[in-house]
Amino acid sequence: MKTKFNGILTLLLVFIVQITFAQERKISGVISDDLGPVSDITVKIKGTDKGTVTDFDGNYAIKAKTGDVIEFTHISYTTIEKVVDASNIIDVLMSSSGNVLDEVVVTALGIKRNARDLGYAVTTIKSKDLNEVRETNILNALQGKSPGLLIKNQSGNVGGSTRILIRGNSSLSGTVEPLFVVDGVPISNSNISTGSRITGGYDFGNRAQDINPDDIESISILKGASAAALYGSRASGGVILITTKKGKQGQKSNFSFNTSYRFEDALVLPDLQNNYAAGDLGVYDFGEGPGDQVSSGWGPSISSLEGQTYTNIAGETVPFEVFENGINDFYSNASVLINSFSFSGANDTDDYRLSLSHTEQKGLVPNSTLNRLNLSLNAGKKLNEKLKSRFNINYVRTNVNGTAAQGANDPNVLTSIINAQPITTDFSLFNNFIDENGNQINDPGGQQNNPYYITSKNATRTSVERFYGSASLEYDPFKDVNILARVGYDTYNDNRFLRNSIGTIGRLNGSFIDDNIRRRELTLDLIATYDKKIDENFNFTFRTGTQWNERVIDRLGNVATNLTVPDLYSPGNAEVNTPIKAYSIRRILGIFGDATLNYKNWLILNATGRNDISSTLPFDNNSFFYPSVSLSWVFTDALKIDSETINYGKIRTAWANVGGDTDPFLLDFVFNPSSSFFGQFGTDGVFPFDGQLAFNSSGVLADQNLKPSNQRTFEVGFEIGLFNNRLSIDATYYSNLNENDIVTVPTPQSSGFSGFLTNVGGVSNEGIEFQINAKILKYKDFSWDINYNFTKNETRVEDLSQIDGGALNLVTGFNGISVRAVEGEPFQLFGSRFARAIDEDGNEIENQILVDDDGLRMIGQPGSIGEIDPDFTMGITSTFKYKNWRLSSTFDYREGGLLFSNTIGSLRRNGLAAETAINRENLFIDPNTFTQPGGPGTPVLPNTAPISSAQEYWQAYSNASIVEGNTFDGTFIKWRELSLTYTFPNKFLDKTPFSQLQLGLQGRNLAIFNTEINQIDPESGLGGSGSQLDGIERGGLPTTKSFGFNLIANF
Amino acid sequence: MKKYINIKIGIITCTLFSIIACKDSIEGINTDPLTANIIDPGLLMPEILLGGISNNRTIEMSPINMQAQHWSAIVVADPFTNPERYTVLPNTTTNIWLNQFTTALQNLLQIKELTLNNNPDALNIIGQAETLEALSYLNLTQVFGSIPFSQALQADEFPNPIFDNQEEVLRGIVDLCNAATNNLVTDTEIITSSDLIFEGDKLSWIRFANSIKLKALMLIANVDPSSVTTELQITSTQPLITGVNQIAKLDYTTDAGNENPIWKTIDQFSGGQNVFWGAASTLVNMMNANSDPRRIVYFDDVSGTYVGQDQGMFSPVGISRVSLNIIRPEMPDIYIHPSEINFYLAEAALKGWITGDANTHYQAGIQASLDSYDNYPQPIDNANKTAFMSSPRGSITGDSFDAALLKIHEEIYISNFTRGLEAWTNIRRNNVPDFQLPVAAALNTLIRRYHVPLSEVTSNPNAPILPTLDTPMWFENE
Repeated sequence: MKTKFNGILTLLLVFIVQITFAQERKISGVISDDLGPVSDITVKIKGTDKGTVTDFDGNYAIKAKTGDVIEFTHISYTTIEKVVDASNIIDVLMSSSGNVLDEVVVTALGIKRNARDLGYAVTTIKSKDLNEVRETNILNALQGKSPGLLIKNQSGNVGGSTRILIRGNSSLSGTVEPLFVVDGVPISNSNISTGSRITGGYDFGNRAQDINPDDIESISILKGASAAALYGSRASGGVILITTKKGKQGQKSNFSFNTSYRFEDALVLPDLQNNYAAGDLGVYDFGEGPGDQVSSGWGPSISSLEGQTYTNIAGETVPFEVFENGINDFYSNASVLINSFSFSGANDTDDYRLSLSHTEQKGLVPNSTLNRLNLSLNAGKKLNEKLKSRFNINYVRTNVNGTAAQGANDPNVLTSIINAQPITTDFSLFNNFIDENGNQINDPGGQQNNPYYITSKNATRTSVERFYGSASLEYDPFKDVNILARVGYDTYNDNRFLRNSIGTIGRLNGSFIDDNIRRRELTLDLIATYDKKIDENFNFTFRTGTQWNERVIDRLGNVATNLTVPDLYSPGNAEVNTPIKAYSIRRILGIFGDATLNYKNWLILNATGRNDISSTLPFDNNSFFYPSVSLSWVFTDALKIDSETINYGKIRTAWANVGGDTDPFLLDFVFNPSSSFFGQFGTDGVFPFDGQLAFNSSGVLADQNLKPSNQRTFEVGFEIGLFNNRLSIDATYYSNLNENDIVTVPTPQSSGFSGFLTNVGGVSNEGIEFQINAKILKYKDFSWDINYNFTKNETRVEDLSQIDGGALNLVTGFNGISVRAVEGEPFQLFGSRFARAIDEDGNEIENQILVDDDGLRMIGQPGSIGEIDPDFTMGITSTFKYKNWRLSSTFDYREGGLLFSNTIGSLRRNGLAAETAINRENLFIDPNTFTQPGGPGTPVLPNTAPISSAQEYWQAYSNASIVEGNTFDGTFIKWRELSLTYTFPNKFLDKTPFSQLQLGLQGRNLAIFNTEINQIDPESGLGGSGSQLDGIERGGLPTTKSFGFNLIANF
Repeated sequence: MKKYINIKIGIITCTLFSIIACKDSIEGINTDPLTANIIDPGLLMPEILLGGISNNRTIEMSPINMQAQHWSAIVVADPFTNPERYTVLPNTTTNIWLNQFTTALQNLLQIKELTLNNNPDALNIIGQAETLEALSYLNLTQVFGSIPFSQALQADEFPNPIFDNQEEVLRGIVDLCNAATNNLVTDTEIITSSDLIFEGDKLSWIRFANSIKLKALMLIANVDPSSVTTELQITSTQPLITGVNQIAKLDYTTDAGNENPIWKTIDQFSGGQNVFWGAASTLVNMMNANSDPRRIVYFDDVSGTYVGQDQGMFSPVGISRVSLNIIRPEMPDIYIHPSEINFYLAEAALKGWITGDANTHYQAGIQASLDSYDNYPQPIDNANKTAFMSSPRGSITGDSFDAALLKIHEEIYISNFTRGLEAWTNIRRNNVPDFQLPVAAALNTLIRRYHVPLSEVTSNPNAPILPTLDTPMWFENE
């Protein structure tokens, strides 16, 4: 096809050539190396200044005459020259010299800069690495691929959220998530919850999941405040900068198709014992149903019940029989199907790319689905030599059904039903969940619902319609000057519907919530650039601009309770309707400047400054300025090192400062009209009460002299290419200090306020990160490359002197568990510990855990359980290639960090966890425990009392109120990705309509190793992506492993 | 060149203009349009009573009915089994503390501030707020013992309030009630329609304040009678809640969303059947011994008998349940019941702390208790009332001092049914009835208090070391 087309073109040229001879004409082509297309190759007509560079897909276009010599140069490659003949297409295969310094990197405000210019670390991930094994949430696709990132997939819910931290948790206030920017325009990654996460929250996901991974050309991760200085206050957590694909200059119209289908299964399910029935202290109460036994797993052994029968949940009299795969059978039939299409093309003046993508995912939970449609158009037009315009429009519709509740106190928390069933439960009995009258049947007892009833009758529905995009105009009034005006807009409408059908145990009267969240964000940019080559040695670039940003959240909803007609979710069918309304607006105005001085292309100094005015701060302190400076020294060029051992080298350093604001509407003491009041067990009531309206005063007091927060960052690093660029290393040391964070400090409630919003403290993050790319083997058609990254980050609370006691709870969960900042320490998991012996001074003796007269552990004083964040993380991607085959695999390793798991605690308290069956009949003495019969300060004796029963031992050890007994080391290794692809050779494709055809087998999250957590995925979390409730799990759904195939076809 | 400069100026002017225009658009938008800065103080009353006090006293403190050994859970579920075996769930303590301090007391403070700033003559409103403050502090100290009082609710001056011991708190409550009555006797404006207790009836509020004072005094008198006898004598002559029509209570209603949360719990979990709360043997055995006619009101019978369950056991089989005659949507939260005031007066008279006839107060106490069910679906018929009043239980005349005191203490305990906090105080203050140690209890003795929640302890450097849950209250007479 290609050849034929070229033939026709040549023929045409023959006719035209006479007229056009000696005329300039457009020459285009694709530059590739043995890995595929290459960007940033300088394409120049030899002996002239005329030149261009290839784009991300290796395309270029240049005007040349027949006979001209075109030079293709790049530091990483050996220079190639080609003479222009009659053909308009010149494709070139470059051979690597191995220098990565001159890659183009997209930086703040979408400014493209050479890697060598940058004084700070940026990780760029290209489309093919990002989409090696496609994901529905792009954040998950970044796992294991970049140093400096900590990414936690919060649960197995389809469309659930993923938390991302760059270079550690820098904030007491929780504003730690990076800013997402698509083609220069900030977009929302919000994760707004409906209801409390603790009492039956639903994780409806973080909105960065709306970005179609297939539209992404590259992702630049700007890690430090330096890289982010120009994005201002919102970028203190770093920036995820996404550049989308565009139509390629000089490329004929292209149609491509990509499809993936994968089966999904639970990665980790609870490891249950298989020997003991429900009951209490080894006795089964035959007067009660299986769900109303005192516990689900502390009954007699199954073998001892031989010949006896009981009444199961369906009312049948059956023998005691173990059903081992109950939970596994419940989570089934999950899959993901992603189809995407794109059309693109370009000519001298116009380019366009239109893409359509459709994702259909079935979750592990029955009836849970995600259905997403992405439509995107990206088009540019060169209006004349001085004026260019570009439009980028994205439409996303995401429908998610059947998100399961997490947490506690809600009948819909699915895992607290599933994980609490006796091992004698025949899960297939749950399949019949309603009778012919629509009443719930086969409920498991114990005030719980039939799980299929929950997943069928109470399935949630959310529908998010999102529109984001930008329009920009670029004007070059004079040589060296460029003015960019851009309007960016991001809006979504998130419609949520939550229901409890009539007959739901715990919500028998039925209820539903409609929650409609509208968010919109408008960003206006005006940026002028002056780029001047001063002389042979110096180049100067200066930018100045202004940015105006407005964010509005509008929320309207209704909580309807006491329904009359079943399954009718209309306000008119409810006895009580309580509307919800909320509104917030914030604006920020920034003015900035950015100057770069380049000396001989090996010493580059960059300085920036920005001033923001924020609407959320007090008038007197609402304007704040922050600078940054960075330096890059390419020592191999400066010192003219040219050896086979050291191919290139760069040393860089940067210092930056970023100010920050707070949330809107926090400063005033106000009276809020209340529409409801709290009641335990879901017994909340509504106002008006007996006809009377109600108001409530602010629960938090605000410091009227609030100042902007401030973050200082410093980093130094180097990049080096060795042994003909077979080995390249990029290493960074960084140190950040976040001061005057704006935090609601929990205050004694006896003061009348639960919190005081003020500037507090300092948190530092110090760390090293490095990335190594090694071309380990390269022999004929075979090659083996490894990409390895490593991060070690240490968070330390430097200063909490303003707070009495020097400690602050960042967030508090149930049962007094909290994430706590303690001066001089990293962030801690905090809560009640086991009781310990007390010395004469009244201090606890750490290694002497006390037991009571029955040899059981007891609840002691609250204290620190340990550090939440991992000691270090690393990722490794290994790629083998042989001819047209490619095998790639990514592993992700996280060492340390704690996880509190109520799921595990509950399995143990219930006698269901496998470990509770080990030695159950053996009444051992709890090792290394003590008694202090005389009380505090008296002699401590070794414990000699054997436990009275395994049940009492585990119920004391895993007591819900003792955080320590339910906390685990979060270390794990995950096999994130595996992909095997075969690219059909061109000679085969010549006879087909395809220009490229690739088939692959792929898997995600295939296995987990090296973890002490055997019941759940150690990545799980309750807090969702935007909360500081890290390291705490309750009622989380299992995550998935998946395996399937992928097909890419280009026409 | 000139053109170049002109354009430059043009760009700068435009930018400056837009910046100035924008700066205006930034300042002055930071106020939530959905909130108010000044309101009528009465509008805070419903939140105080519901979100602050009553939902707290009813459902949040529902485990206290077990700890008072009035009720015994008949269901196996953590929120029931744990507290009955003396593992108090942290959310219970947190919510009690939080709602009393930041919802009830904070909004009561705001009522006073709004009144002083905008309507300083309305002393009655201040008196209403002070009365409810006294009630809220009395709730708190009965649960936690030492609590912040003298420095509480003064965030500017005392961001970390010290804890006052229970004696100081109780004496402070007395002062607060005196201040309230001084304000209430004036002829000034009072909160009416949003006063869900008395609809602005001034005399009722005075009775309410005096009755709270009497309860605080009687707790002090248990330990240090001489310090309060004068005050007790004065109080006994002031208007008190002694008649059934004077009861201080919040009535929940049958309107959806306004029902009593105890009822709502059974409505939502079991379709209105009580599958949670049975009769405790401590209470039922005592009532059985007296053939108490209130059993028919309190409990469902089991084949004509009333059977209680021991604490720490959770079987529903063969156990009398708390009757749906009690657990109804409109079941009130009773702040002060005339029977308890009468029994306190009877005890004070018996001990000679006040003048008057102990037996008269004793009989009025029982009568008020019997009569307060008159409007219930299942009232006590007059014949049964008369029979009980004329039985030995109906009088303490002729009883020895000890026998009379025991009867008073037993009857106040019985009459405080559904008022777990008050009954728990009875059992702790009077050591009557004998308590029963729950099966598999986490303590070796009766639970005496709840822990101050971690949320206060970790944020208040002045919080004391927490006493263990079996440490007696100051008001207990060991």
